Order: sequence, then C-alpha cells, then structure tokens
Amino acid sequence: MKPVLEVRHLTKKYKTHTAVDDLSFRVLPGEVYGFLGENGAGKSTTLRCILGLIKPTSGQIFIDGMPFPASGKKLLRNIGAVVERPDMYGYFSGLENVALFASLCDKNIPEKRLEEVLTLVGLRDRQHDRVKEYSLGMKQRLGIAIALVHEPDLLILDEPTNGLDPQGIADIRALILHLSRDLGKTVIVSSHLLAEIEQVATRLLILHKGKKVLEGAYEDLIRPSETRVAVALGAPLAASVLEAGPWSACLDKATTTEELVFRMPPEQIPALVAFLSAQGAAIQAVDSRHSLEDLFLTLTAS
Amino acid sequence: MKKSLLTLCCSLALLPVSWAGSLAPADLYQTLRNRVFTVKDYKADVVMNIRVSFMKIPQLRGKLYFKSPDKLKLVREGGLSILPHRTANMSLAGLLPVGHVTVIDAGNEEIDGKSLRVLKVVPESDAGDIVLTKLWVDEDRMLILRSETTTRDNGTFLMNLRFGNFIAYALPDEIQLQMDVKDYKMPKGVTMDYEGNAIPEKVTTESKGRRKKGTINIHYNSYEINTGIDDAFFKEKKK
Amino acid sequence: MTLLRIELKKIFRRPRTYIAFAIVAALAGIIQLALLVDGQSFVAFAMQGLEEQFAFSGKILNGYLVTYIILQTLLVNVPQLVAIVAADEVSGEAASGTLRLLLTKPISRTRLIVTKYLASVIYTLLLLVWLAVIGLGLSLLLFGTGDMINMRSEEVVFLLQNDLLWRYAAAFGFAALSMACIAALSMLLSIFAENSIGPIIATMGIVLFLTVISTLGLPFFETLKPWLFTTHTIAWKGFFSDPVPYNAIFQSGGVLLVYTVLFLAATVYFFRRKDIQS
Repeated sequence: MKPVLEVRHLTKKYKTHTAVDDLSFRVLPGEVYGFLGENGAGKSTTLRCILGLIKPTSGQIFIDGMPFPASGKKLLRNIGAVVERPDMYGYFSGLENVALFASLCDKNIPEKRLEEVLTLVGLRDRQHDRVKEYSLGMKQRLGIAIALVHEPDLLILDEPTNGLDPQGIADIRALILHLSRDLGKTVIVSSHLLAEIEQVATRLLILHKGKKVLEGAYEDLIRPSETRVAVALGAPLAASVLEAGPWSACLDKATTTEELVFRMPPEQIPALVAFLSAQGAAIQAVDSRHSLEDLFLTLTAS
Repeated sequence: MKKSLLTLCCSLALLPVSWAGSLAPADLYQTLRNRVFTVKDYKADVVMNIRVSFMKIPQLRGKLYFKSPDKLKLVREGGLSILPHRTANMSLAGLLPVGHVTVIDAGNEEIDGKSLRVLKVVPESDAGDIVLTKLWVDEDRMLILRSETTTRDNGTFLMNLRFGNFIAYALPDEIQLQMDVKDYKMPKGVTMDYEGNAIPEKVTTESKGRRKKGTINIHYNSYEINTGIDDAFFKEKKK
Repeated sequence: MTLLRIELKKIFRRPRTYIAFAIVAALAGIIQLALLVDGQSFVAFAMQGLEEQFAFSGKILNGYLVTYIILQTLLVNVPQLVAIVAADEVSGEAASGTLRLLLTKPISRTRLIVTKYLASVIYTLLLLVWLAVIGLGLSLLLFGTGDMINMRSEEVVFLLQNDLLWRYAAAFGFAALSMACIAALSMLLSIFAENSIGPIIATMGIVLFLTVISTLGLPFFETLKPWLFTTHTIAWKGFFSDPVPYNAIFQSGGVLLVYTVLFLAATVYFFRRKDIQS
C-alpha cells in the first residue's frame, strides 16, 4: 500500500538543542497512528513540520507520495489538523469559524456540511454563540469540526485531549474510532499518555528526546508474555524459595527484597499468587502492567 | 447726479484748451490735485495682482470700493480679500501730502518716449507721514502718470498709472504700486513645512526683517463714480 | 478574493478597529469645537505677523483652513491608528493561536501575507475616507467654504476656494501612500512578535523617532533627512503650495513607494521563513 505520509530522516535543530533527530516513519491509509512521547519529545515539532508550520533542518516529507512543501501547499488540501491548543477567532461564532476555515480549504463545501460537522462534534446547539464563550472542551471539539469540515483523508490531531475531563477524553476517543472505522480516515494522533491512545491506535511510535525509540503495530508491541508483574511484600522472602521454584525463569533482575518483579503472561498471575502464598509470603499488593506501558514509563521516568 | 457728471465731462473736455502753455508748478499741482479730488468715491470691477516675495497670491477679481482720500476696500464674492494695511497709500489722493505744500519744479524727464514735467511736493508742516511726493505729469492731458512718495515710517511708494477708457474722469485703467514690505517668518516648528528636496535657503541674519519690495497691480474694468458710499462700509467687520 | 474577504471580516468584526475611527472623529471634533469657540484668537495669533502689513477681510477661518489644521495635527497621528490594525495582522493571530491553524490550510504564505497587507491598506483607506468625511465634510458644513490662507514658515500661500478641492483630493491620495508605507512597516514588525502590543509600540516608536529627526532642523540630521520616509510622509502639504512642487512630491512619493516595497518584500521573505511556534 502506498503510504499517505512518509517522513524520511527528519531533523530539526535549534540553536541550543535538537528537537527532532533523524526521524523516519510511514503512515499507511486507514491507520490510526499513535505518536507517543513525553512533553518535549519532539511530537509537536514533527507534526508542525508535516503541516508546513516549521521548516525542517533536513530530511524529507512526502504527502501522498509528493515531496512537501516543495510541491506546494495544495498538498494540505486533504489534511485536517488540530495543533495543540484549540485556538479559534473568539469574536466569531462557532459556525462562522467553521465556515471561515472551510472557505480556505480550496474545496467546494456545501452549507449543510458545516452544520453536519458541528452536529458530529455535538456543537450544533451552540453554533451561533461566540467562541469566546466556549469552554475548553467545546473549543477542542470545534477544532476537530474545523479539521473535518473539508472531508480530508488524513487527520492530524496533536494532543487533542489535552485539558479535557474524563468524559471529554472518552468522547474524543470515540470520535477517533468512528472516523477510522466508519469513515475510513487515516488518523495521526499524538499524546503524552499511553492510556489515551493505546485503545485507538493501530500503530504506535514512541519518541524520546527527538529520536524514535520504538515503532510497530500495537499487538506486536505489547507482547503479553512479557507483562511486568510486581508483587509487593510485607517481609523479605528467602531467596531459596524462588530460585528453586518454577517461577525462577520469569524473575526479572529488577527484583528487590521488598518487591518481586516477574515477566510473564498475565493469565498466570493467580497461579503465581497461590504459589507465593503457599510459601508463606506476605503479599501486600500485586501490580501488573504490560510491556509497552512499562517501557514508556521507564523512558519518561529517566 | 447725471447732470453733474455731464457738466463734469463738458468742463473736462474744455480743459486742455485752457491749459495751453506752461503753468507755474504750484498752479499745475493745484489743478491736478483738484482733478484727483473731483472723484469722491468709486466702486470698480478690478483684477488685482499682488506680488510680494513671501506671498503667493493668485489673481484676485472683485469689487474695489474707494472713498477719498484714503478709504479702500476690496470685496470678493464669498472669498477672502487682501489689501495692504495702509490703504491710505494706494490711491493718488492718499499719496499727496495734506495741508499747505511747497511745489518745486524739477524739470522734465522722459518716460516711455514722452517728456513729462516733474514736480516735487513738500508739505509745510511735518505732522503728516508724507515727507516728499514726486509727480511725473503729462501736461497735455493734465494727468499724473507716476508718483513717488517718501514717507516717514512706511518706506517709499511708487505708483505708475496708465490711462485709457476712463481718462475723462482722470481715473486710470491700471495702476501699479510698488511699496516696501517687511519680511515675514514663522517658526518652522509651528508650520512643519514640507520642503521636498529643496535645499533650505540659508537665512542670514541681515536678511531677517529686511525691507523688501512688493508690487500691486490693479486693472480697472469699470467704474461707478460718486455714488456716495457710507464711511461705515469701510469699517472692518470683525467676524 | 475569498481570503481578502475573510481578512477584512476579521478586521471589521473586532472592536479595536473602530477605536481608530472613534479617535479620528473625536480629535477632529475637538479641533473643530475649539476653532468654533475660539477660532478668532487662533487666527489672530497666526496672522499677527501678516496683519501688521496687510489687511484681510472675509472668512479666514473657513472649512478649508479648518481641514488643513485638522490634517496638519491629525495626519501625524494616523500612523499610530494604522499600526493598531496592521501591526496586529500577524502578531495578533500568533498570540491568539489562530495563525497555526490558518497556516495548515492550503494557502501559500506569500498569498496570505500579501492579502493581509491589502486588507490593512483597505482599512487605512477607509480611515482616510472617514477623516475626509469628518475633517473636510464636517468642517465645510460647520465653517463654510472660502479661500484658504496657508501659512508656511517663509511664505504665505493664498488659495482660491475653487482651487482647493482637487488639492485636498491629491493630499488625501498622497496621505494614503504614506499610510500604506506605515502599514507595510507595521506588518514587517508584526512578523517577529507573538503579541500585538510590541509591534504597535515599535511602529509608533520608529515613526515618532524618525519624525523628530525629520522635523528637527539640526544640521547633523540634514544629510539623513532625505532618506527617512518620515520626511516624505508630509509631502501632501506640497499640494497647498503655489506652484505645486510636483517634482519634489513625485520624488517623495517614489521614496515612500520604494520603502513600501522594501518593507513588503522583507515581510514576505521573513514570513515565509518563519517557524510557527506559537
């Protein structure tokens, strides 16, 4: 399949630091591509380069196989974007904002499409209110309406859930799934929280200090057999118990006297707990997290 | 009125005959003076050109009102009018000394191919502003063609007169008055002039406040004489 | 065309745009009121140098002279009003965050910035039309018509009333060029800021600073003067000289045009290269 977007060796250097360092990836049609990294990892810089807001220091970007921005800004016709904070013209109404940006999309957009897209994001009742009076969540949804109004094939959503309450986050998540599954859009979504995108992303890219750390299909990345299981103990357990037992093969080197760490499939947890209890271990808590989460947390912690 | 004009015309027509031969300077002056003063007032359509170095004034058309000896007023329909402050010195009547005078014969002088008698008129009293008036007289037509008046405080006035259509009333078709004017200057900070690319003229201290020549040219197209204009008319209405 | 319509809509939907119109009306009104109340003593003061030797009669303080006084006082301040809008064009959108959304649309930056400039120029023109309506129209209504006496520092120009309207038309035309130049400067400064106050203040500062140099008669600045655009922004006054110094006015216009083009070219250059970080 021909990639919708391809980034080759993208580098953006500033005077004091390198924001993006030799980053390459491809996004295929129909994917929900998760862009993951802590704040300052280079997600926004990368997305802004793709949208032509920032000039890369080096590297190439191809949209629909055409070099960008060399082939002109018209390549952005089929892209809808939400870039960080949802800032609109506060003295215009929601509808006027959508109409304004729609008219800049170089496409003929019928009047009823405006209302349609406002209905989709649940702003129909407030479409005539000035955006000044909107809540952050409403602005975020309006931003998505603007990104969708011209029916683009590719959506770039940079931190679309930032600052939203749990319900708002769930709404956006549902919307992304709807766009991807029902409308067949390609979506690039970035976040600094794995939990937010692991449920929607079909593929993930983890960015750390401007460099690609990991990339792959979600199913491939999470590797259930390597789920990290941590057992917190009230009192140290004799080392011999474990070394001799059947679980020694799963024991991770992160194990301490207070906490036992295993790498194992999560369905074996009851068996492990039963075994440890039988050995007289004072189990205080059992915590499991899958490998991807573990990796991401390790990265962000450093 | 009509009758008086008629008699005036008749008597004027007869005048050249009675003036055959040279008159004594004093008599000549008196005759000329009487002629000048037969016009008590007039209302005239004029075209005026004022040329003063520091003023750019376009040709002005209007009605010029005069009342002997020194009242003058320019009226322009709906517009501004401008006249030198001392209108006293803008008519022949005003350029002649007041009171008893001594008239001295200063011989003849040729101007524009015509020999003119020159008279010097000196006032006996020194109360007036005029110190000396020199007159160039066309004896044939009994007209003053040029006068030069020196004043105590207001510089020198030179007037040239050209006669034609209104010769019967001894009124000129055109006069040209040359006078002294003081230089004018406003601080640049106030006016904020646009100088373009012109190199600003170096103003030396001597040239400041220096007297300059200004000329006023009045062309008379028609006259209405002695209609009896009220003095009050000449009073400047303060807006 | 759509883009221009949008940019104009943005300008004219904001309250701040109308502040400029209100200021023009207020300032012109104050001058008119002051002259209506105490115009005679003002005229007497201005004319004292002349009245010594010449007597003027008729309405010296007529609508045309009042307009001239208004323009003389106000046109120096119009650049600030132009800056309120023009200097906000890019920086304001950067501050509000709409710039990044705008630039993700398939419009070239050159087209966007040139359109924004055109919109500012249209705003400027409307401001001048407003000034003409208030300054000239209302003055003529209040003070009537008449011949105008233009007092310059070394000469007095007497202009006939039927010779004045075209001069005002030309003067407003020239003022438009001057203000288009100021607008271009404002736009340029606007590129580099993420808030609109900075470029507005910077424009005012530059204009004020250069105007002081332009009007100060110090010999040190004389060589500099012909190269400052502020020297030429007052060339509209040339239309009230007699004869009109067309050569000088055309040269001034040329200088302003060159500055405008330079400012605009620089604006396009820097805007195309700008990384949108806001």
